[in-house]
Amino acid sequence: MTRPYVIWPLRFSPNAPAMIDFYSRIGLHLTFSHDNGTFATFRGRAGTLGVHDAGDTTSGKVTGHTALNLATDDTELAVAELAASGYDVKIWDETYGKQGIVMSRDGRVIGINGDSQEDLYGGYQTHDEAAAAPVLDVVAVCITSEMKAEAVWFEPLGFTAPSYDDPHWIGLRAGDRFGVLGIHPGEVESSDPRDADDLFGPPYLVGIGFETSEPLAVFADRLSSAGLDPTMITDGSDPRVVLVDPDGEEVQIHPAP
Amino acid sequence: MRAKSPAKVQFNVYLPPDLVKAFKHRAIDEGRSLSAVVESALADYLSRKESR
Repeated sequence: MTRPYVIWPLRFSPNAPAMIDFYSRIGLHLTFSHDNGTFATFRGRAGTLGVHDAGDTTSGKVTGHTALNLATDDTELAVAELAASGYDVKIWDETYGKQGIVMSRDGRVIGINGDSQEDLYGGYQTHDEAAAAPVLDVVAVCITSEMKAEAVWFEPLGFTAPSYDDPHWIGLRAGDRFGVLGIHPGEVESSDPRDADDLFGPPYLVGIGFETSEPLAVFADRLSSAGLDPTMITDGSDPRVVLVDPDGEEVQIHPAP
Repeated sequence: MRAKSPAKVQFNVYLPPDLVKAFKHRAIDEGRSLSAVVESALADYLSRKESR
């Protein structure tokens, strides 16, 4: 068993300020940001989420892509533990602290990042935690043609599911606070390699979804009151709220189990 | 097809904390990665030494 990891999908957006506003409106808590609107992180009831301006990355542009990262309290210790467990890892210094990576079972890059940043030079700021806990759990949706093998790979990182037999969805959790990894059938999306990733491999791309403990009708009303345009789908066995984010990506919010 | 970047290697050294912080802040000011700024500095240093 390794130290705990928190799901932290990072969206590289051509509309970062609009995406930051969008995630604030749907009910995530802003925890960290840059004052020029190019970067922000959010906290859900479980899991975290980041937005990075696609034109302002130091590692190349991957417009519209969302890369899977795992946040931890100590990147150096986390990478050392993963290396000792046989994972293919690397770590180096960036302006914001240590950047780690772990290679997925098929050679894609998953980021390992610290869950806080001490040096706020250059316009970064932390934000006070709001009093009420967000009702949203962040879900990183992993598309794969080998669902069970993909799900099992995440087990040593603490993410497990009650069952691995559903052919449509395996929801991996590491506890109440760490977010959800949703394994969904499909072909792995190909991506243009980033400059920095030429060294290591393509990023592990995910979709972003949410689960909520709020009744869907109440949640949809709240989104409408926040100026968003949700569609509630109640027919069939998969009730959900659907809306489109400023990047044009569909976002699905399902009831939390 | 895009040309592949030349391979890079990791280069671990010990430096004064204030110098590390200054390089990180310079990289933020220039909107570049820390590696890119350190690479520029090392290349500039060698270039100046070799031109004497």
